[in-house]
Amino acid sequence: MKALRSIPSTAILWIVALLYLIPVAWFVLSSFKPGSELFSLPLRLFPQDWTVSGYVTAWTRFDFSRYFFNTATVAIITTILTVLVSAMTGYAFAKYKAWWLKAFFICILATTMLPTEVIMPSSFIVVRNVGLFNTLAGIIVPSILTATGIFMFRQYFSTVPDELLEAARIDGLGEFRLFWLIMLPLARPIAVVLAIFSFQWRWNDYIWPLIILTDPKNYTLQVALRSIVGADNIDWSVLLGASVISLIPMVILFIVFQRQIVNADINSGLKD
Amino acid sequence: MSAPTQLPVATPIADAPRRRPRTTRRSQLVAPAILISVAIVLFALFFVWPGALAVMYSFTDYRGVGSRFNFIGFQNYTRLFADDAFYASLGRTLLYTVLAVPAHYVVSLAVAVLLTSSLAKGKTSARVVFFLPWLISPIVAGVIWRWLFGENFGLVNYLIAAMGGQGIRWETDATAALLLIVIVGTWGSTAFNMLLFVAAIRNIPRSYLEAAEIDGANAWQRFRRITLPLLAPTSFMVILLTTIGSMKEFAMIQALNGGGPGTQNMFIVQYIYRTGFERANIGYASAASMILMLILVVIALIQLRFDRNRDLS
Amino acid sequence: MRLLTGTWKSVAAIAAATVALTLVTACSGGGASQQSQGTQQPLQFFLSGDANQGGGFAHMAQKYQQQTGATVEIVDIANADLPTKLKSAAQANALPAMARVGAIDPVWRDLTVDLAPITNGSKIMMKLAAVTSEGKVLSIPTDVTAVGMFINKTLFDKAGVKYPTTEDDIWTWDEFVSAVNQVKKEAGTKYGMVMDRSSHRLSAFLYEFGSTHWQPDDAGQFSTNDATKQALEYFNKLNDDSFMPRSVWLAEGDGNALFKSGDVAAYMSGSWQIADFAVNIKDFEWASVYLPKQPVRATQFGNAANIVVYDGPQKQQALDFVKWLYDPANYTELATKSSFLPAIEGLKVTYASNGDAFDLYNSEIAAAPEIVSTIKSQALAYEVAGMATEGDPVRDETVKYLNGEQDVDTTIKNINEQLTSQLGPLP
Repeated sequence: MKALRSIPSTAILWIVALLYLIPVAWFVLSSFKPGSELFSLPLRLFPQDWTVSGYVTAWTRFDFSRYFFNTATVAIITTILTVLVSAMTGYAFAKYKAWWLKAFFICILATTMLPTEVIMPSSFIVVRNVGLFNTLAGIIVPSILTATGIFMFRQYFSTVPDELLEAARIDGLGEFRLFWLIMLPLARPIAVVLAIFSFQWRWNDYIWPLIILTDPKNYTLQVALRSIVGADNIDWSVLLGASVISLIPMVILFIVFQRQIVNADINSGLKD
Repeated sequence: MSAPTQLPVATPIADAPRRRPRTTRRSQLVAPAILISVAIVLFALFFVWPGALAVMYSFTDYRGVGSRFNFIGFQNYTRLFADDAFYASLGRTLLYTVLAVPAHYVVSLAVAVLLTSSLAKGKTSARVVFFLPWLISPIVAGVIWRWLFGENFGLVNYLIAAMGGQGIRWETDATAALLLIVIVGTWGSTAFNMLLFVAAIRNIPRSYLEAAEIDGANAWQRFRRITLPLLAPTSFMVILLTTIGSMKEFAMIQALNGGGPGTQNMFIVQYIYRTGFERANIGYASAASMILMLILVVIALIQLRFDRNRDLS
Repeated sequence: MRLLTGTWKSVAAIAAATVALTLVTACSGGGASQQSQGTQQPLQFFLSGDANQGGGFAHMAQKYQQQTGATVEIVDIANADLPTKLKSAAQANALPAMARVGAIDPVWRDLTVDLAPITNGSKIMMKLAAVTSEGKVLSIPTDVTAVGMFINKTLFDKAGVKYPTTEDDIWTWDEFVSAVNQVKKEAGTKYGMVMDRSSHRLSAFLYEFGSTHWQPDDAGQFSTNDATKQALEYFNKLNDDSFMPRSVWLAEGDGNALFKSGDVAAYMSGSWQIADFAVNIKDFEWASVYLPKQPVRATQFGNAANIVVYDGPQKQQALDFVKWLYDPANYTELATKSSFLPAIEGLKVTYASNGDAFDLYNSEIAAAPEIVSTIKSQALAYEVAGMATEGDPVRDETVKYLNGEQDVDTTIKNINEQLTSQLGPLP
């Protein structure tokens, strides 16, 4: 009976998923087409002439293992710090009352309101003056503060009932232990979501690592990939092949960690 | 049916007399201050400092690094308010935002609900499918969508023609182009909002929904009366972030149609880019950015008024 | 309540380690700029798109190392990001040894080395080089590019339509349009011609109608002649979504892709496409043909990029490399590998394929009228003085005109105004 009842939901889910999948499928299938086939009419979804030449060229031209390593290092360090700082700040906004907290929250929101192009040249001057030019810290530290992350934790913590904190305080728990030992574990699902977001943001960073780092061996993946976009033309088959390769780690990461979001027993602190 | 008024919390000393420790007041001020300290430092360094520079530049005729500049007072601003193109791009951006926010919200919420319903099958794979668009970089996404919706050689028009219709002018008709931007924007950002909703939906104690089901509420009623209100904080966040993001949209449009046809779909950030950065009028670009920020702050403050009731009970 | 103490202890440990690591990396660098390198390290050469264009520079760097033992490191950066990268590097005192750039940036203009030792006594095309009024050579051209017309030869042959193959019977635009329309009819293609959305290509079109482009008078006021108006009106007529697709100019549609699809009879682009077409067009035969005239025979030529050498401890080695590179024998090898039109006069380059196409371009350049060189040298003069229109008024105003947002007189007026306010009198 349940199998029958699941049909409408499953059907809708998969129709929508298919709509989302088609463009991606096109992209992946196109990476297997030779350059000459990409633009010829009539348009075809599947390649006539399956080839991996784009991938081969991409793999030999770019030292993917090095770029993966560089990007992963920066992404992991930044993500851990981002999640921590966002959690601390979001928690403070959600669970404490003070006018200056509300004001600072608006300030944090304001950071999303200036376009990056405006902020970037000035940020560069700041990084240079602080002495972080050409260091890994120069790309890590400016990326730690994210209004989105702080906002996420604020909203999440705001759904945690105040009684929980009161009870803990009455138990004699200090504020920091309260945060560390109770609140943070409670927020594991949202921490995982933010970690995935943050990793993806750093994975795709290109302009910042490009201008801060001078040794090309330290460049990140996107910097290398964008060099395919030449002055006069774009080598599409290489770009497609390289893009697919660069997506794979993120997809694997997501598959592994998405269970954390969905299956985490959030209600563990709220047994009824 | 209303949500239960008391959240049952099992603590061993729930009946103990409520006694506020005397140190609460002070620690309740010190603790948050320390918690936000790191954020304050980073904020000051990487937002206030560059932001202050940007404000200063907006009152000058600065042309970029290495050039001398003069203070010209409010000239940039008066020029801005006298420019028709500024109002046109601002209006277009607002129109897009009004269209995009509901679209993004409804679609990602619907997808999140489907992904957390106990009935649908194949949820895990579907989750990955929805996540993929978000991973694709704007350059590649722009190309994909041009191939699909290209006016001359795109797949969609090809199919429409094959079925006997006439291809839609996705690139040379301003309205069709705008709709296309909404579609592509929704496609790309579903994953982000969907994940936030999924985490929040999982946060709703199953006991509420089960109790309601026992009381005879059907799926839609359960959703409307329990899930939706409890999702309010997340909904608010999604709406606010989507609003701000839509107002700042730039890279995706560049990849899709360059703000075309002509300049009819030029949004405000592209305007800033075109008249400011491309012509090395950093002062002018900074002034326009300040106005954009002001508008966004006002929108955020208005929306913040709706985020009042965060009390679960 | 369960306290996951164990887990959180390890998280705390990780966090502490992360902070420590960050502090360590704050001090680490790996600086590879000229300033920190000293003279023993590889010479960094910033450029864009070398790999896409046959890898000529990479090949020459390798050869240089075999011959002299000195290492030149080719750093390929996305075209759109290269100016930003150089700007920031200049601000942080971390410029590379040399770079291949599209234009001189005022930010690092005074940090370049005089290339006169290389150009004196050589046959490098100095009219494409950036030279200051004092005679300092800021940059030298690496190649020459020119606008040209491609046709889908298969379609032309199928329709039985002829096209000019010698310099004596070059077609006019009217003749070209009717020939292409006939191909459209007979061969059943969707579009007649597509042109890249670029003022560079449009300039060739304007010159062919006898336009004198936009020039400043002594007071810095820009203006143009009547032929420009005629040319723009003609262009607008062509963009009727039947002869030319409107999506290219109006919505940044990809002209290159449209031509490759095989459903367009002609493509007005330039010499750099030859190498791309040789590899990526397999479904039909293409050919380079003479540009139409109305009544002037003209092409817009220039150079895609110049080489600059930056001041610093490695400047002598960089100069040595560049001098070696421009030795006629070596330069010929570079031009062959990268399919460049040579920037050194009197060089005979034998290309791996499509040699006749390259010959065509050379003859078009040789036949170009004086006005093209005049405008080009004006542009260079502005560039050397550190002034440029960073946007593209000619292109952007034309786009608005094509889209029906304004009429042709307003378009020309706007272009005049923008060029006047941004550039002013010739330096």
